Amino acid sequence: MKDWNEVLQHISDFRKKGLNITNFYPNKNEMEEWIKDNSFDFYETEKDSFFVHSERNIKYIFFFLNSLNDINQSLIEIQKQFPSVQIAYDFILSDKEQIEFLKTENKKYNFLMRAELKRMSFVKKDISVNSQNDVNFAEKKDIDGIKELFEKTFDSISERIPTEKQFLNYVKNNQILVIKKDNVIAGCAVIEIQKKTMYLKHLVTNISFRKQGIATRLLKQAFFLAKDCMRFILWVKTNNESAINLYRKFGYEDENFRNFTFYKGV
Amino acid sequence: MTEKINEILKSIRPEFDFIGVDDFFEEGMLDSFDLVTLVAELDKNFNIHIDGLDIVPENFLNLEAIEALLKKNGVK
Repeated sequence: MKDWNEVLQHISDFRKKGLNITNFYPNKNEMEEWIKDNSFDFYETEKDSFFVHSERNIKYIFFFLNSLNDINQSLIEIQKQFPSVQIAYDFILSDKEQIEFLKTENKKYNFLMRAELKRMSFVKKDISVNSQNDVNFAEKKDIDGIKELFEKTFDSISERIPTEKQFLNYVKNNQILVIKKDNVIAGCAVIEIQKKTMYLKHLVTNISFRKQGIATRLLKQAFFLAKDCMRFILWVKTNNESAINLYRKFGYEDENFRNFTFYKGV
Repeated sequence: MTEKINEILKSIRPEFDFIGVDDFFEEGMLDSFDLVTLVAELDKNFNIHIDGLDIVPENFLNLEAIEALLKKNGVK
């Protein structure tokens, strides 16, 4: 892929063909990084076209469909295109029938549902939170410890553990908050503030430091930094009750959207 | 037209009041996910196909920008 304009041109071509059902939510900054890294491509087969992002030996697929019913043709084409490669994709849906349809179709083509996440959010005008003394921005020297914590905690396929380069960017932009105990990363939060919206991208507590209020203090510091924001959004695994309960205490409420990650191994 | 656009916006984000706002993205009222949803709803409700090249935040900043985009697509 040459540049962002080429991405937009492909989207334009898809839309002219009526291919409006998609799992592609363009984020220009992120995708320009992918293009720079040569990890974002456009594929065209006889019957189908899609975007592919390659990360950690996995091909993440972005579809453009006329209707969700066409997903089976796309899954066939993708497997032909990438016969011996790990393949994954996310799909965001809110309609229960569509959700059941997608799960059924994926089983037929050996794609397993790897994770189900739900979106939680809230809107608030005034957030009054004090700065947390033991929460600091991560430094470059913390990255190895943070990576280790992420790899122990998160599923790399459905929860998109950041790459080394992404971690370096996050550190550079003061997006990672850490609590350290005796130089060990006790907990970590990754946030992204876009204008008046704060995204909580990751929140993790080291298993050795659970039940000590680590996650709560990280969240409080995130809200302190985002005190001018109005909208707060996160995605959380639907079976992560303890995280969901914590987020609800901070005002997050469930939205109807569910993100499903489907995966096919080698 | 403005009323219809406002209705659609409120169906996506009912917690916000979109009237009189200069920049929906600056105010945190819409994000990239909402933008894709908004485009689909505008296409459906006005029976048009917004060109992919036009799906940039600048064309959806506020009610007036969206109205201009719809007029560009033949909506009267």
